[in-house]
Amino acid sequence: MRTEFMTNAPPAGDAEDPFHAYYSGGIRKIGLIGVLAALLLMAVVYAGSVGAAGLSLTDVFLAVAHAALPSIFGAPGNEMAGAIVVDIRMPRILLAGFAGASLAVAGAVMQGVLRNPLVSPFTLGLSSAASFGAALAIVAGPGIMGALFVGNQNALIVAMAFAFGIASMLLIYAVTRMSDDQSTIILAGVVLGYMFSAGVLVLKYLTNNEKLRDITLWLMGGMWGANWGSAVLVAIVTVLVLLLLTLKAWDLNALSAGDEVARNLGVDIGRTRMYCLLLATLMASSCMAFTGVIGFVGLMSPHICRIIIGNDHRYLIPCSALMGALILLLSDTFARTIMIPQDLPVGIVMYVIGGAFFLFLIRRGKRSTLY
Amino acid sequence: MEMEMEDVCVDYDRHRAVDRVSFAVGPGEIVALVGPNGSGKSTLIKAIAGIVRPSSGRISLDGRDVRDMRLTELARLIGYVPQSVPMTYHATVVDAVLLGRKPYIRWGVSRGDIAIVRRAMAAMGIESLSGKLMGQLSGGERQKVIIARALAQEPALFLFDEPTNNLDLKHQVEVLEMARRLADEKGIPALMALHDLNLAFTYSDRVVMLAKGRVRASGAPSDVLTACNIREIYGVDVTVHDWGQGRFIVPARAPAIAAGRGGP
Repeated sequence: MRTEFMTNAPPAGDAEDPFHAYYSGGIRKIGLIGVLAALLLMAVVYAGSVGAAGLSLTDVFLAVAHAALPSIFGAPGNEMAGAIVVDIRMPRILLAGFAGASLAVAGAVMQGVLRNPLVSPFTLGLSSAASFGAALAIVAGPGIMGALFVGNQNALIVAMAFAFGIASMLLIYAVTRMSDDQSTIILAGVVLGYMFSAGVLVLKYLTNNEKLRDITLWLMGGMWGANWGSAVLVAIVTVLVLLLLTLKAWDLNALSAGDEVARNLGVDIGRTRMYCLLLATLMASSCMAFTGVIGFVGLMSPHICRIIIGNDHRYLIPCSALMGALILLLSDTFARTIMIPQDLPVGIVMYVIGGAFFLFLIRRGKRSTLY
Repeated sequence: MEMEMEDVCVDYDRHRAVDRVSFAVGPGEIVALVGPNGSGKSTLIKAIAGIVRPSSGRISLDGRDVRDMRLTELARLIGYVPQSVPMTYHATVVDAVLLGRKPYIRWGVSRGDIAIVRRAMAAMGIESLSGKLMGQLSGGERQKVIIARALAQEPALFLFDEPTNNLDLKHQVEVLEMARRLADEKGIPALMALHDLNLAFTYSDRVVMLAKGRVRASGAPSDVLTACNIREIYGVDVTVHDWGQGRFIVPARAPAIAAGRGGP
């Protein structure tokens, strides 16, 4: 049943024409995503070339090209380059990039579905639950000191962190059924977070010194657990879930206008909320299982992207993914190169870089509409 | 489009918000829902919009039960304007109005969608705001964006919950005249909850007066909006002045105060 509302057509083609504004805005948004992708690519190349062993860009390129297509490209001049770039740096770069993307997208979707700017995997209790799972595995496990840091991840820790991360969202669902008011869901998440944190404290209090150190390092988070296995696993989950969530963009847009309006626009509120939150939890848990607790990127990347690209989730979700990847990768690269051979926890660097960038945007954002 | 409800009840836990309500809204008709706060006006509107589920009774659109309709189908038939909506600071006005096209859009936004958005914005006189962010608007401007979104939905029935909220006198009249025009020219009916009884009298074809979830009076505005009904339902003494082009309903004072039991 189509109807027309207006009898007199408005003047076309002027600067305030929404048609023109909308499409030029769309082109700008795609351009912005392109710029971010280019920046990310440059960051990847940079991260591949810096480190304890300084390598030339040619060596880095030849190392990757030789590993991928040995029949075309010869081995790099520096004998160590192949091993360093392909076996050590590449997995770490990939893990940092995909972990950043996954946490940022999870944050963007959680904020969108619950219409609350303070929501992230951190605030919804997911991180605390995953920490508790990991701590339990460390305390109950065989206690191989340092297993965390030499690359061969303790499978038990990964599995437990992942399982408890997922469990936190299922618990929230069991308590609230997702159809409740969104602040009830958020509060349930916050309270669950406190309960799991208490559990972590109990474990820390009861355990011995070596395991205590392991727990503390896990809680700080970092790319210590990077290897090809973990990087590929996180990459697959991130890309798949990213696609599924992007397909829900219009539902997320409608939810931003309130539950009642979204319902009137044809969105099944309870089901959409559950679907999106569970997928976001899946992607965040699978990356945290390998990286430990990494805060901030999941909270901040979506905010930065809202300021620069707006609230349309068709652009916001991909933009958040790229922004999260960029922030975490740059932070991790600085963290491992700033005090060679010391490897700083990535969080310390990220809070400073990301925080300064965000404050800069808040100041700038006030002056323009950034359409 | 004709909307009909029969014996509809809505319960919130143990509280019955709407109690065996039956009435119809015919093509081209504007029906005003009036009644004190908490009388069930908003709940009734939400029940028709499919936002709350009636515990019993039947709501039908052109004879079809809404329970048999898919969500997208219902979304194309009913445009709902709520009393208030949460703020989305970083959405532009065009983005906000464009949401009305959601029931028609799969992924991409067509030129047709944008043309409809432009017409809806023109109808509300907000074209000049197109590039602004929602966070930069005044309360009245925001209300107009929300109504424009419902227009962009191109529904066959409008449900307005206090559409004149936040609007100054000029814009109140503009919104109601727009509803009147849509009803007269396109035959699109509207059901609107209104607090202002004078506006209800002036712009509606029929008035349904609710109290405690039940229909207490319904019919032509001049038959329903009487001093007697208003005193009984609102507990306020009013004087009613008829003149050539309408009716003034002027509150005198609440009976409790008149009897000397209230007041300072």
